[in-house]
Amino acid sequence: MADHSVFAFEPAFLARLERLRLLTRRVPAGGFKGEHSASHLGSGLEFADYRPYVEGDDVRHLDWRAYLRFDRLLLRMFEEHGDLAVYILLDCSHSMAPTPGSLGRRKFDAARRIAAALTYIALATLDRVTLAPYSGHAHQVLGPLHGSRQVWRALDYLANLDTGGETHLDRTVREVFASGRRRGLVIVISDLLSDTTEGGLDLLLPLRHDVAVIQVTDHRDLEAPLDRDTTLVDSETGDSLRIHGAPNLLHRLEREAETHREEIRARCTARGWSFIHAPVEASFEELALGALRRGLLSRGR
Amino acid sequence: MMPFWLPLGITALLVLAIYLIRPTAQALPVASTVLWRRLLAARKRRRDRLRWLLSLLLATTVAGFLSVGASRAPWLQPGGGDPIALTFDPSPTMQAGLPDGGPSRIELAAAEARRIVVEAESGSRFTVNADPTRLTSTEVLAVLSDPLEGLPNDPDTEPAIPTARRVHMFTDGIGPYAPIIDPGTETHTVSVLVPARNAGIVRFATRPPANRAAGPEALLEILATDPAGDLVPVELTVTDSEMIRIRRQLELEPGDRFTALIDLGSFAPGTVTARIQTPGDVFPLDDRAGLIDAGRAGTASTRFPVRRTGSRTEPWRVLVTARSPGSFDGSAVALALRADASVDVVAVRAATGADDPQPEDPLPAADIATYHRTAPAIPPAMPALYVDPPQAVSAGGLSPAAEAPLLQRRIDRTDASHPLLEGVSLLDLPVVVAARELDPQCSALASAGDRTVIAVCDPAPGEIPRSLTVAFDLDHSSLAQRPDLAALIQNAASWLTETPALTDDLTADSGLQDERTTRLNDSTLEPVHGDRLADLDKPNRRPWSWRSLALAGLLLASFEAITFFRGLTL
Repeated sequence: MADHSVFAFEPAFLARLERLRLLTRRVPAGGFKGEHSASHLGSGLEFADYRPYVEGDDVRHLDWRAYLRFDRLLLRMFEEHGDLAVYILLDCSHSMAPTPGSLGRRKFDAARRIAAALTYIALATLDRVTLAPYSGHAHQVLGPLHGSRQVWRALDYLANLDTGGETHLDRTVREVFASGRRRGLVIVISDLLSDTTEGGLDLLLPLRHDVAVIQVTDHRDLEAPLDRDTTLVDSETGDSLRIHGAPNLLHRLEREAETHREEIRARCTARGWSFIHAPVEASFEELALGALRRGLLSRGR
Repeated sequence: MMPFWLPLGITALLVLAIYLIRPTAQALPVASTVLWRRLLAARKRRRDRLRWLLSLLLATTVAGFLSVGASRAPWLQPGGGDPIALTFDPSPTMQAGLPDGGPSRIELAAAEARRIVVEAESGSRFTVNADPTRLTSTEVLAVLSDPLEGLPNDPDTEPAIPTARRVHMFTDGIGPYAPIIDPGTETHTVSVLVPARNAGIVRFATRPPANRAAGPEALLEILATDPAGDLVPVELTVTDSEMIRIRRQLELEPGDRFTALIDLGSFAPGTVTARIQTPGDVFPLDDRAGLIDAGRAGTASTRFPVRRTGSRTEPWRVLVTARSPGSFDGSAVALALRADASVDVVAVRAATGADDPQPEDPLPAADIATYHRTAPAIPPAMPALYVDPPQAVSAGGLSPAAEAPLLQRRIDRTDASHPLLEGVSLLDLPVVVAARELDPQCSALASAGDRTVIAVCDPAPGEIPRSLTVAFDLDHSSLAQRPDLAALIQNAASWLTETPALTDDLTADSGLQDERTTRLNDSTLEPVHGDRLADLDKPNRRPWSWRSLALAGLLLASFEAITFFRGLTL
């Protein structure tokens, strides 16, 4: 049963989304024409720069006026525009919705909203979007989608997703990129509460994609009644962990979560990736602001 | 009567109750235990750091312990640790006492030792001399109550003191007394030197004549000491085998050395004996010295060996049994015995026949029985020296002479390692011996071919005393003209009385020079600060005890186990 209430975006919100576009440092040439400037200069219409002529260059691009003025052969360069391949990897493991009910699904709902908004932005800017949920269950990859008309299809797809099983980002990365997809922007949306997440992220490194990691967190994960001995049961693996109540244990758990987040952030930064922390309590505007600050989004048009 | 199953049932119920009321943990589903496990790992890392610090502390403790052990801190030695060793100088000078009947040095040492025992820590154990037996304070006080009987020690060997917390060494500082003590053991030397009047002959020897016309001459040296610094009156007599040849009255300054050259040309052949008499002399053993057949000494310098007399202050008493006193007088054995300062011939009696000895007048007490050309039917209950020519009857370890003719041979085999032959050379000595069977309990000390020349019998302790049989005619042997005979006789006296023989010159044995040069303290019970004893008086500690090593090893093993299992290392 599709739950479209998660994506009840207001028109004003959608209008703000349409003024944003995804940023990437490198967009491969080719593909459909899009609104992204390539990192290299090509055969576009907008003049970009001159460069000295070297043997083998197309003489049609020689600027003869400049030759007359400077007595040097200069080649005119133009910006080449292309579309951006956007891969959104959405964590649908059990940890994203550990308990039934809307409260228990807050992380998953927030993750889907983020995925929907990014999909909307990408499709609005003529980028190609691939939605790849990952968990212990089998999910069909959607996409690549191209054109704003595919928005509703994507939203419907996201609305029909459900959680379950363990996190297998590594397996999903292998499956999605096994067929040699175009390089583009990979957005991982997850709570990152799995031992396999880091392995999956490591697999992305040799593929030379731009990567943005969005960690969705729920403060409720860090709350537990620890007034007596407790056996913690992992919602994904079922593993149990017996702990004994200790003063400031939850406080130390919060600090550990922060440490964990900073470790991943540092690792992403070292790789040139973006890392965005998205607590479920934060609004999308706050999230977008963070994304703007970290260069994942930019204001367009 | 309680049925047997009741306790079992109660126990089972108790076990079941304990199982039912065991504390259970609430199960709490969480999104992921990743953060929790990281948190616990962080706590584990803290525990690891704590463990590492603990290991470091242990290592430091071990290192500190080793350092303290190496520094041999005295406070490491508890009262119940290694014993306190009390060692007493066994030299004869320790027997010396004051002329007015005051305590002897050994008695002073025992008194001082008793004070140390009383003031020692509670629970201390003690060892006395080289005996490793640990004694309580009560037991050691009992031993010290009679020091002459309770402090046995071999005067001719340096005792090896058992491992001890500290050693109290009681000595008068006279003579070379250096017990074997573990290096570094805390040692306190307690001097019990009681200054006493003494005069002694420190040298009496023949030396080559100044010219061939004159006979040999003897060098005599006398030293005297007196704590009060008064003159020491000394009466010197020198006798040959017939009469007193020299008698002089001397007055010596304390520390003075009296030297005299004695022309032996007019002396009768035989033994020359020098004796001194000093009023109040506390050490009579050095009052007599002798020369064997000084007239035949020729140009050879004879250094008369004198054995150490152990804890005795008096010569060994020798009772001689001969065919007749006249046959003994003038014999080589008689000359040797009379020249030996360490023995004293207390009586010469005639053998009474084959059933000798027979009851007769009470004989003087003796330490050694000497039989000259005769032998008793029943061996005496004391060490015996048999001097038997080949024709003699069964004696010592040898059977009577066989019918076989006497043969002159040369000694071709000796047991040179035997203490009896220390300083004695018998090889190639021509002797006339008979074929005599050797007792299985005895052994040949020297033999010529298949014939035993000298036999020794050394039965097990508790059996018949030792005996020595000389089976050739000494009076017709060149051995009588050599110093080897004197050495053999003296070694025999030592060995027969179970005192290992040690030949030495007179000066080294008497210790008189040492006594003269020993620096005295105001307090006779303070440690001696003489040159020889100064090193021993330095504060020094024992190196290790087994407890120290065990504790250090235990700590080290704990540390190694922790570091091994935790992958830590210092």
